[in-house]
Parts: sequence; structure tokens; C-alpha cells
Amino acid sequence: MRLIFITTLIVAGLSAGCEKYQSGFKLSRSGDVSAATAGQPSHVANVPVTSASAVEIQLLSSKLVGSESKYKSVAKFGGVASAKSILSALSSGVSFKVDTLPTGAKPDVLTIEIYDGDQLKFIAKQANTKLSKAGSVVINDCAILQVPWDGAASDGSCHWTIEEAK
Amino acid sequence: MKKQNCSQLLCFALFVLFVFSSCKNSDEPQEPSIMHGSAALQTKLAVAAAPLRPIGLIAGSSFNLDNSSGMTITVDMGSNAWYRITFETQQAEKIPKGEDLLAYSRGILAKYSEELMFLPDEIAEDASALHEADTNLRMVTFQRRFLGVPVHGAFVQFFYNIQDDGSYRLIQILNNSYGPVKLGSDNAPELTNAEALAIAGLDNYKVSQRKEFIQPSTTTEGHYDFSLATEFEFVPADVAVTTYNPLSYTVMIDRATHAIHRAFPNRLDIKQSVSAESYIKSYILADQSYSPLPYVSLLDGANKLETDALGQADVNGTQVTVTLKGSKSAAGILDLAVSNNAFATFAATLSADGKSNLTLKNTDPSVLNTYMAIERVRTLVAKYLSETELPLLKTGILAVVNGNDPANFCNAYYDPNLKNLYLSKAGAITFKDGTSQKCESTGLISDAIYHEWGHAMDDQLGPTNIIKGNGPGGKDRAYGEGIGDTLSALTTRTSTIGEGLFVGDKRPLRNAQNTARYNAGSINTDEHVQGLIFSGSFWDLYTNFTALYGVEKGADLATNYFLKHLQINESYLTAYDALVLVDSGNGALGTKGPNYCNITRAFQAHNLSGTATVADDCIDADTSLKVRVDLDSGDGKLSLLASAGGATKIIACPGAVKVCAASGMGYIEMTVTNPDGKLTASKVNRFYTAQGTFDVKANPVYSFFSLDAKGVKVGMKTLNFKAKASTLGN
Ligand SMILES: [Zn+2]
Repeated sequence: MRLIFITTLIVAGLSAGCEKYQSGFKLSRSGDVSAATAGQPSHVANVPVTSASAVEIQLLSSKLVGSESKYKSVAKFGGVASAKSILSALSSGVSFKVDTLPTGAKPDVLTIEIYDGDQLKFIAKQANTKLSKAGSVVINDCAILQVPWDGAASDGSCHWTIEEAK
Repeated sequence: MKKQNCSQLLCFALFVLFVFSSCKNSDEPQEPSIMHGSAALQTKLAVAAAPLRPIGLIAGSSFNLDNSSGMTITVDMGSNAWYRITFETQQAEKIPKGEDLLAYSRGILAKYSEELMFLPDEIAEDASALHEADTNLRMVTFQRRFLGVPVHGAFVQFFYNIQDDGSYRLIQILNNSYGPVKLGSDNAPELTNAEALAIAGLDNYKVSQRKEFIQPSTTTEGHYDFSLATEFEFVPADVAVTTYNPLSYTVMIDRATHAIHRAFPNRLDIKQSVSAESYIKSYILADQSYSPLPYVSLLDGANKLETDALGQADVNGTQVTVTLKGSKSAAGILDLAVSNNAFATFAATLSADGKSNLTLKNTDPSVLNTYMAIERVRTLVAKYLSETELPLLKTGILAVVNGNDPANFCNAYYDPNLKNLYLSKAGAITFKDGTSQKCESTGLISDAIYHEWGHAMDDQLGPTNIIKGNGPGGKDRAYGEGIGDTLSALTTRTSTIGEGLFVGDKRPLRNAQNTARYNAGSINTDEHVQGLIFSGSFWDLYTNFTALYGVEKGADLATNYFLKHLQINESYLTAYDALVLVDSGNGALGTKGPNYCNITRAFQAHNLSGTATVADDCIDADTSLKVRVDLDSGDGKLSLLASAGGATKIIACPGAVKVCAASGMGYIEMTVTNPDGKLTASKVNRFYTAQGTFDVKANPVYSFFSLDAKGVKVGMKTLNFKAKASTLGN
């Protein structure tokens, strides 16, 4: 039995190395939650937030287009973090809904973390943000930074560029 | 055991075939083609695996045996003999503790002779048949013979589990013995060696060994045939051949048909990677570590090999003789304790897994350590200088270890006439005052070896070098000593040199981290002491560079500058000017290069910068310094992260300034944060978090300063913050 087990492991390992297999599904770009859900691989346990009062967070970034099956997002606001949420497609980015963050409270920094599995891939921080029930927040591409930063180049913000003085 | 649909071996083979055929990429490197031998040999060499046995499953209960309910039996369809018999452990017969398992196994063989299909006397009597496979498993393996001749690959194996009380239970019999042997032709004549070589088509080979076998083979009907065959070991006729890696081959040839049954090249799938232990600095610091053992000769049986730069070689066996000299070696070691004309040699056992670590105890530690230390410093210097620039890299150097001249105990020297290094054996030195000190073998002090090798290098560098017919080292002896110490410090990345020369004394002989200053009116006549002025200057330069660029890049730049300046300079009094010239790209960048301030500050401290002096406002650019906006709070209020190569701390002040006082308006400190791998990650850069908020609307220009551990500004960068024309969203 032991040999069989080892055999299976080796075969699985080799298969993974091939990467010939591609998942067959394609997502619609309608931005509708059920379409995105249908596109999720079966092992994804998270369910989309459907509460009518949920806040929709839109990430208008071309680098996230088509990433709905790959990435999940966490929003942090007012000391509260949302669950890891699945993404829906928008025409020029992605969105997700959260219903556990404090709404109506005073403005604060909204932090969005985008994960590939357990790995943090992007981070966006937006100051002076207010969340309202059933409202939506738009985060622009310029605020969505790839992480980890390796220090190889300077990075500005949506409002400021950084240049080395001559 | 559960019933299985196919044998384990067959399943494995099929899966592997499937996987490989489904993702074979034509770009993958192919196996190197084997260049020798006949077509018949080539065909057999291409077959890597043994043929599979046809196995069938038969229920044990059908045999009507005692306690058969716990048995599972598979049958070898080629012979109809039992192939594998497994027993439910707790139902198998209990064998008392201390039982002779060899005798017990023979008893089973006799009992089931009919089912196993060979006679009990058809096994080799071998006491080594008992194998302690694991703490609770014993195996007995009998090789199969027929009429006294071994049947190739045939054996029967018994597996015994050891119970908690020490008793045994038979858990499995594996009968790989091919059933009854019937020889088709039992009087085929023996092959001559010449015939065998002709069949294999191996020119320039000879037979090193031969052995007679009975070779089983599978017929097209799936049964076994047996024939007399001879297994030959073919080795290259000329063992001195080293221009290619000659393979030896094992080939089984049928005595009647002259067909090749099986053949394989005698080469391990994996290369041997041989590493050896050595002291980074000195035995007394016990700072030994392993690194590849490059360019040594390895004698593997009759096979002469050499390790490559990474210590790798295609070694067949595991017992080798290492000689500390190879055709590409930059060092050859004479161990005077053994011989004054033959290179040092020692026996070593390599690891079967292909990764071998030879310890200093494999031979006289000072002998192996000297070789490794020379290779370490040579490897470092070879990153920066070509063999044309420094022929020593190619020609290597002879090192005499365990030197026995009493006048040179406690010493190491470079002999420019003999062009060798001399390392004394353990001895004692008597000082003028009559006191004496015991010393270790200087081959154990790597610092000393780097220093002496530095003299040999120095002789070959510079406009008046020895290769151009000039005298050795003579230009500036104090410079030569400073060069040796600096090379040692750069090799070990420590400033101290020569710990442990005297037995039990960990104090360094000299230290490049010093305050020695040049004073024309008071020159110390000991060149080693005088040399500290240069080594002290250069160590300060090294410290400035590593503080600015980080250890890796800083050490790299310092070593590069050190070796480059030696090519254009002959005296420590002009070393500073040479370094400034090197830093300026030999003038390509003007008179002052990017590291002018840090070089000048280092040499100025030792009064070696001549008339050039720099003040606090001379600050080199820190090209590694970068910033990232962590949070834009609007209205120009930014939280910043910074990254730089080596700064201990970064400070920032508004404006394009050279002075940045903590008491000044808008002063912000940025302190080191450990990269968490999530937000920041780098193998070369450090990261810093601002302890305040930048106001770039009020101050569109900020100057950032990289500080060393003492708070000295070793680098700076001025950044402009410009508002974007269109602002999206927030
Ligand atoms: Zn010296």
C-alpha cells in the first residue's frame, strides 16, 4: 500500500508540473453577482454578500479585470475587517460587497487587500472615506499598489508623483 | 491486504508513461547520446528498466492450507510459482524471540518448496542475508542459484515484523526466483574477452571483470527461458584518458546466441557534489563551514576525475582518493609532514546520495584548510580580475604546509622567488627577551593564507609588476602588508586578522579597524605596523560603502575598487588618488566619482587623502534610496515608506538642503522596519517607516539622508513631489 501511495504522489506532482489543464469556465462581464458565483470553482466556500444594505466596493483597475476566479478581497475600516470576499466582474475592474463594516460612522481610512489564496497581491488605502448602507465606494487604479514593494523604484499616489531632483 | 487490479509496478509504469507523454516538451534538454558501442549495445542501453513480471492473483483459501485465511497470494504467471505471499500480522505464526531467522526462513523454503518452485538447496549460503531494515523489521534475502551458478536477479525474501515482546511474525514472502530453471543450452562455450568487446563494439576498452550467470528472459508467450550468460565490466583501455569523461559499462552477453541481454553505463544519475570544511578565519574561532571543493583530482578506482568549480564530478563509486591539485587548480598543496615532492592526498568516502561533505578531519586539517582558503580568496578575486590581468588566478600557487624550518615557526610567508606560500607547522617562537610562545600550524589560520596570497597577487598587479621584469613587492613594503591585511578583511568581511596564531590566544595579530594616521615625521619602520595606515583607511571606506549600499553591494564595490586601484598604483601614499580615479570611471565621470565623499572621508581620517579634505556637507548620492506613498491623506499630507541599501536610519528635511537638524522645521525621521514579506520584501534593500507626516503641498522638495550607525550622513537624495494634473476619485 505504501508504494501505491508514493506512486500517486509522484504522478500528482508531475501532473501539476505540466499545467496543461486550464479551467474551462469564462465569466460574464455583466457584473451580476450570480454570474460570478456560477463561475467560481466548486472548492470556494465563500458565498457572496447579498444583504440589501451591503456596501459595494468597486476597484476600477484594468490589472484586476478577469481576476474574479483568482483573487479574493478583504476590506478593513474602522478597526473592522470583512471576510474574504469573492469578486464580481465590472466592465473596467471588479467589485465586491461587504456588510459587516461600520457604516454611517465618521470618515476613516478604507484599506482593501487583494489576495491570491493566502498571498497578499495588492493593497489600496483610501483616506477620508465614509461608508453608507447600500452605498458604493470607488477605488481607482492609481491607488491599487502591488505588494510586496521591493524598494526598486519610488511610487507616488493618485495625486502626487515623485521625481528625483537633478 | 486488499485486492488490486494491477500490480503496483505496472500501475506506476503506466502512470509515468502517461504523464511524460502528455507533457513532453521538445525544448527540454535531451539525455546526452552515448557515443560508444555497437547498435545492439545502444539498443540495450536505451532500456532503463527491467522487464515487468506477469503477476496474477490467487486467493489463499484455494490452496487448502493451514491458517490460510490470513494469507493473500499472488502468482508469477511466467512460472506459476507463488510470487508474493502476505500474512495478516496478528494471524501469522508467532516466532519466539531470539529465533535464528535464517534457519527459520530455510525451513519455510523447504516447507513450501513446491509452491515457490525451487529446491531449498538452490540458494546461496550467505550470512549477510539477514538485514535489519528497520527497528521492527527484519528481512532475509536468499540469492537463487542453479547448479552452483547464480540466476541473475533471482532471489526470495522473507519479511519479519518484530512484536513488542521481541517475538517475530512472518508478514511477507517475496519470491522473485523465476520458478524451475531449464537451460536451453547448458554447454555453450565461454566467451573470450575479445569476443565480448567485439559484440559490444567498444573500441579502446578492456574487460576489467567478468562473472558467469544464468540469465532469465521472458518469451513471447510470457514464460521464462534461461540461458548461460556472462556479465562483463568494460573500462577504457587507457585510464589516463581525461579529455572526455570515459564511461565504463556493465554488459550481459548470452554465451550461446551472443545477444546482449542487458547493458548499462556505470555512472550515477546524479553528480557528486563534494564540499569540504574550512575555517573562514581561524581554527581558534571554530568558524568552520562547508563550501564546494573545487578543482581537485579524484581517483575513483581506475578512474581519474576532477571536481569542477562547484566541486562536482561524475563519480561512480564512493571510495575515492582526493589529491589537492588538479589541472585547473589554483593551488597545489605539499604537506611537508608527508612528502616534499608529491601533492597532498587523502582517502575519502563519498555519500551515496551525491552530496558529500568532507571534514577537516579527513586529513591533516591544516592541509585541507590551506587548500580551501586559497580557493576562497582566489574565487573572490576572480570575480573582479581576469586571468590576463592576474595570471596567478590561472597558474595557481604552490603552498607548502607543515613547514618545518624552526627559524620560521609561528610564521607564514610568500616566497617571491620560489613563488610559493609557506605555512609553518605547530612550533614555538622565542622572543628577544627570552620568553617564548607556542604556535599552531599557520595552515589553520585562514587569515594568514589570504594575507600571503595577497602578496603573490600584489606582485603581479600594478604598472611595475613582477611580470614586467620588475622586482617583487619592492615598491612599497608597507603597502604590501596593508594589501595583504585588506584582502583578508575583504575576504572575511571582518577587520581582525590572525586570531589564534599563538596557542590559546584569540586576540588578533592586527586590526584594520584602527586610527593609524600617516605622519611623515614619524614613520614606524615595521612594515606591518605601517601597513595599518592603508588597511585602516580602506576598512573605513568599506564601512562607508556597506553603510550606504548594504553589506553585499557595499562589499562588492569595495572589493572591486580595491583590486582596480592595485592595477594602477604602487604606493600607499598615492592609493587615495588611485581610488578617486577608479571611482570617477578613470575620469569618465569628471574628477569626482559617485563615492568621492565617502572615499575621501575614509582616507582623510588616516591622513592619507593628501590635500583633499571634505566637510560634513560633502555627501554622496544614495542611488538606492526610494520612497513609496503608504497613505495619501489628501491636501499634500503623505505617509511614506522608504527603502535603501544599507542606511541605519533615514532622516528628511524640507528643501534641497545639506543640513538636516532634528530641531529644524519639518524634520522627519524614518526608522528601519523589518520587511514582513507582505507589504515589503527584498533581498537587497532595507525598509523604513516615517515617524511623521510629509507635507508636500507646503514643501514640494524634500532632502533625504542615509545615516550610518554613528549618525554620519553617508548618502542623500533630493525628491520633488509634483501634483498630478488630473485627480481621479478621492
Ligand atoms: Zn605580509
